[in-house]
Amino acid sequence: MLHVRDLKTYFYTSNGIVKAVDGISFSIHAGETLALVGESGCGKSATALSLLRLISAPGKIVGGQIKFNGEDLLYLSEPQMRRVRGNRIAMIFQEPMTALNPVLRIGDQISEVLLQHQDISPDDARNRSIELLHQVGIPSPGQRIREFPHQLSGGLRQRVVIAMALACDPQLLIADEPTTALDVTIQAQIIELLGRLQQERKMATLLITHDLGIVAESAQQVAIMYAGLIVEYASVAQLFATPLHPYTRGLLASIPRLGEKKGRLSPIEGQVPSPWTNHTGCPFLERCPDVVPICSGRCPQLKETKPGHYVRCWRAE
Amino acid sequence: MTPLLKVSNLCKTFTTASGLTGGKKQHLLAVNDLSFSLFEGETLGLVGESGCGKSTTGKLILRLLEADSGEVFYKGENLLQLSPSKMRPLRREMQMIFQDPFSSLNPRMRIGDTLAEPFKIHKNFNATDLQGEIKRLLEVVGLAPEHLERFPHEFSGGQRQRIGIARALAVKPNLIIADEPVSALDVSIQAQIINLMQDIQHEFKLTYLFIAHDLAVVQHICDRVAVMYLGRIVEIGPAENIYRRPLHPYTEALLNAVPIPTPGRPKRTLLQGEVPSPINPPAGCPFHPRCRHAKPICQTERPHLEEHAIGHESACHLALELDLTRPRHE
Repeated sequence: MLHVRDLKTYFYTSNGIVKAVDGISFSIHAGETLALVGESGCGKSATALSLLRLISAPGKIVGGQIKFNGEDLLYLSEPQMRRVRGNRIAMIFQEPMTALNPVLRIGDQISEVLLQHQDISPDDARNRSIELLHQVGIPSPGQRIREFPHQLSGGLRQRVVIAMALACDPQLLIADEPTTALDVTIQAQIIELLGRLQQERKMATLLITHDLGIVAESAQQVAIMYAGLIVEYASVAQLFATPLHPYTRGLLASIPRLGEKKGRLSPIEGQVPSPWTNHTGCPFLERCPDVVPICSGRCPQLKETKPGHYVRCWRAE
Repeated sequence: MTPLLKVSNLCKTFTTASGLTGGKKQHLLAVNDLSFSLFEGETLGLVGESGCGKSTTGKLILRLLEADSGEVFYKGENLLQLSPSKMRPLRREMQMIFQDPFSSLNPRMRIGDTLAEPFKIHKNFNATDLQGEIKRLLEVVGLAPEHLERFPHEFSGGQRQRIGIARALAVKPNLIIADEPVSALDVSIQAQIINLMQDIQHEFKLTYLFIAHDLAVVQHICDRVAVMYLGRIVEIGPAENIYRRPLHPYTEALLNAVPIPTPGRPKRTLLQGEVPSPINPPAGCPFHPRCRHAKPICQTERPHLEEHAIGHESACHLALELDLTRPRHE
């Protein structure tokens, strides 16, 4: 359904060019969840915003293809693109309070999406809003539509944001850290809700997260990003069973796990390179535990080492 | 063994005015009759969801907020009754590490000046040795001497948290209250800071009160854990016991909600609903509206903390009858 090829998004800042997304490719099929994993600044949110063409100056999409149902989104006019956003592709943001308008009643905010994209009367839009709130598990939705965002808890607000995103039955849902701002018991409820809605609607989902626990529990495919590049791309089962890239292995080793008492954690040494760095070799070079001479010479390509398992590393042959 | 810190019946109420004109006053019981002990050299984890009162507890102990009632004994002295001048020398022994290393450092001060400040305030330095002391501190937390001349914005989140730790260590404290010290950091950096905190604990014989919401991190670093819900401790005990066999349904629910980074784990049992408002907490057991084991007694009578195994207390009427589901991580 979605095929991204060699997408590049650069930011032209006064300190130089930041290659936030530096040529990434992935596909998502209907009903499937692809998790995009990485640390702050690795380019995962810039990727999401690029898919919706929401990158604003000094950022720019400088190359690649975003094929959505066979159509390249990068060639659509702005009015055509507006009919895609919130309609066929919807997005959920991390912080539900900033994604909602604080001075509009939540019923009006959901209706707005429907009135924008569908030929529907205001009364029908209102009824549909109530139904959507009911679907996302908000109790007494008939009263809730008259409330303002500040009257809701964080968990309920995120449910409202999900209801808005689902209003027009999108084929692709982009969820950017949808549960990071929530408590763990509420996070579990939201993850379960997203999973259920996705199955009912056969939506494709791009799930952006830094939490490998959430990846293991809700995605089928996973792409690990580092410094604007995908360094490993595989099914969730393959990635957790046989992680091939040293960065992926480092991430998996550095997290404390419930029920396993270890003496010491094994962190990845060093820190993420500055976004202005121009890499000639592998971007993970400075933090990598097993470097060979070629690593500093050229950046490796993403290669399929086993069926469906791609890795960008000179040593993973 | 006498505890280093003993908190008894600590209470704190915040008053909020509702409505634009601030008409009706409402009382929010943030910390409600809280008691626990902290022993020298141990790490006690304080866990719970947002609004449960864990951060308020930390601030009450250091008197960054004044408690309404209760006692906080540090080495046998009740901190809450000390005058500011008597409190000041004790503050040197009790330091805090904050969650957000971006807002807890003065953006206009060079790191060297930030680190010199605690020495000057507590007057425990001699001028010739000050620079040497600061350099030693930097080395302990894994930074280099050339970092002294830089400003906070030149550092990454992990490095800033190292600076926050160095600042706390400067005055040679006994007790460190760490309020979500790693939750703003990326996973690979989180592990570096956790290791650092464990190393300095051994080296300087520190006692930690570790406030956090990430149960995996807490299990890793803590000897004992206290679980808070709506301003009260509902379960406290050795970390291992709490994670293996929780004696409170809320602890069970928290443990089950943690996503496990291994594909194919059994489905979780979801905790229904949300934390009730602390302005109007439920009668009886505060957890009963969300508890799947609740019985009639839970709606009317509030359970008290009782010791059910050595050092393992739970505030649940059914603690012994229930055989709580084994957590999913087992």
